[in-house]
Amino acid sequence: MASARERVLSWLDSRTGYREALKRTLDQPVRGGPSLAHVFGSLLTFVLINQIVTGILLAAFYSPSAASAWASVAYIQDQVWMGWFIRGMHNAGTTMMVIVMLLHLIQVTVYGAYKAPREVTWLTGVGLAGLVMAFSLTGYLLPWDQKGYWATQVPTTLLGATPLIGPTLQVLVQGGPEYGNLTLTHFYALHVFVLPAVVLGLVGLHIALHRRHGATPRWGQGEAEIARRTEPRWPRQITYDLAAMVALLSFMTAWVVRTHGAELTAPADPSVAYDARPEWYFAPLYELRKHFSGIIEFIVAMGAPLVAGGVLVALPFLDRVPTTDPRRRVAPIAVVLGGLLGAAAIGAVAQVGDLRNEKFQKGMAAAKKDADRARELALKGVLPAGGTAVYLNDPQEIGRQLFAEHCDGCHRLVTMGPEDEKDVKGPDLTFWNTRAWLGRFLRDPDGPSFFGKTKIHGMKPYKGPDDELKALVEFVYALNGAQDVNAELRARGEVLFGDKNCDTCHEMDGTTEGEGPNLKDRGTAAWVKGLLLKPDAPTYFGEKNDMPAFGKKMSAEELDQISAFIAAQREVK
Amino acid sequence: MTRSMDRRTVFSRISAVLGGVLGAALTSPAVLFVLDPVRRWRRGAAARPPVPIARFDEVPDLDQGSKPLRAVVTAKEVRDAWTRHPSIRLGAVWVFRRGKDVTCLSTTCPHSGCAVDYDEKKGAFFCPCHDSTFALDGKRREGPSPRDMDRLDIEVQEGEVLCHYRRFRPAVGDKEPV
Repeated sequence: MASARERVLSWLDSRTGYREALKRTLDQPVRGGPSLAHVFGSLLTFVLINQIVTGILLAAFYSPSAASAWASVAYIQDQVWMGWFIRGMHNAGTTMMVIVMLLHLIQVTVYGAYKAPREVTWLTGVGLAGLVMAFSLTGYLLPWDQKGYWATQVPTTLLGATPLIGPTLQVLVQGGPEYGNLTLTHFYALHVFVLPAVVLGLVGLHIALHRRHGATPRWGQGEAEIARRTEPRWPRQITYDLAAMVALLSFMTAWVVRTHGAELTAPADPSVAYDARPEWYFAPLYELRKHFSGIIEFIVAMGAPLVAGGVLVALPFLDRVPTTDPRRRVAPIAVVLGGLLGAAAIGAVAQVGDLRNEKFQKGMAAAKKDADRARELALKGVLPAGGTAVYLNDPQEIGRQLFAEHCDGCHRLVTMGPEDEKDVKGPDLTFWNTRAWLGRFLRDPDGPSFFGKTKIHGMKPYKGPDDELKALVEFVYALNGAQDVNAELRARGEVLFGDKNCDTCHEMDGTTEGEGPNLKDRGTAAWVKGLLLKPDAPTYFGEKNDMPAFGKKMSAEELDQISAFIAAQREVK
Repeated sequence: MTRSMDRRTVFSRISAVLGGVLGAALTSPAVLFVLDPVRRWRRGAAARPPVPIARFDEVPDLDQGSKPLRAVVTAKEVRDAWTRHPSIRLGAVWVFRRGKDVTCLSTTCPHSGCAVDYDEKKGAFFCPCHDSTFALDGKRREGPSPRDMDRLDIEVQEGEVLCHYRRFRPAVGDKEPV
């Protein structure tokens, strides 16, 4: 009696006919015999499966909205178990897809496998190649990081430059005249629903046609020889296919582990320029555009891919020699290989140009620093505003915003502060309390960048020699508790502080009032906070003060944040 | 056995090994990836601080003939995967007192997680989804709910009622935190 397993399988077979289907697949004859030259199609299927599996996993953790896309990708990359690996495999899969596709293209061209009756198989392949590019373009934007945001401006701008329908087309694709939520949801829908559906349909057709016509054997074999060598796919060709897949997967895994997955740059910020480059396989187009302008540039950028696609589409109809022997098909092979080599050369020019471009390299290094900072801050979670709101996790950034809100009506600080000089009412706090700032201040306390625009006057400029000034500065600087103090210089400064009668006006105990502020702990965050709470206290500026008190304008937490921010100006490089 | 049969067997075995390697290599990182939320859940979340829901003198006293107050639980600094919410609504509670004794009940029905309402005419809580009714102290009266309404721990600090808001597994007899 048949086993239970056997009975279940027989039942299934009588309802589905799976055994015959499986047999047909496995026993499909490989004309001319199994060969490593025939593995590329299977390899592409394998990479496609990798893209589908990793893509579905990523979609389960990704949020396509301008507010949350970057934060969710940063979460995948830096916090989810194996997130960096899954994302890395999806990204490496794209590159592998293009490389294997090119190898497949070359193999098919050399073997003349596009020739009758396989023209339609070839055409579906050319279509699939175009779809891979569309996948890449739409996927690049999804992390909503600086690189994707700025690089994707190029294809959407080009789309908008299409004659007549350009602007409408661009709005249709972007979901509006500018990038935003709808751009992401549109690209996401294209990337995970529309393109996969079309690709799976075409792949099904491609494979069905391949089965119908079989593999194209290597040239130069007679029919008898081909027949003698022909073998079923299973097991030899399938073993070759699987071996190639294992090799490819090993390579991808090693690469992803080595690079710790795909790059994630800082969150998209339209106000911070980023010198974006497209993926390497778009580099030739990128380079070409640099050398043309106006309508010519548009024609080149849109025309070059169209010409390349057109040549590929026409290839099987132009190559009519009744043999697959490459020695008698020099022209078509030369066109394809020449085109690829030409593109590679132009791409290499772009690459070399970037390597030699110091400004670009510096920009990349700066962008890497921004990305590292943003991702570090994102570990704490990103505020609901998303994207660049990640920087608000940095107390310094909150301080900067509070300064812009409460202080920059009167005080300058780097780029903040009144535009018009006459609106400045207090000291310039750029690099406040650095040694350089203190030195300039002691030389000219009533100068326009210091107390010149306040009612606080009367401190005498220090007119002594530079080395004494340096010692005094070191002494005053050391009051903030900094670690980088030169003790010898500070001690000398302390003596000078008494000798030059600074101590006549400035007490040092934190409680006694004097002509000028009491200098105990001057420059620490606590001292700044005390000043903000009660600037007219006798230990601060007393009656001469005309700065408002901030105790009621900011919360206790905000006061701590702004005080820390101002005290930290001496550490700004 | 013929020589070609031998070769077929060898290739079949190599194929099986290669296929196994591919399958394992593709699925194992994927399994870890999808298990990440489970890993976080098992590691346990950090205890949330209690949340102020009402001032003590705003809490209605049933002994004075008042009806229960439905209070919204708004917590600060809540993490939701990649988002850090400075302030977010976690849910709602029914709160009332008898003299000094404050009672706080989750509005989440222990049956299927619907929102339990207060029926003023009957002077009882009831769930509109499947008609479970509960007495004012949260005791189960009628309907399919497997347990009483979930009572939440509270504390009173400086005249403010603080609630240790939690969610509990629905549809089971015992009150287990999720």
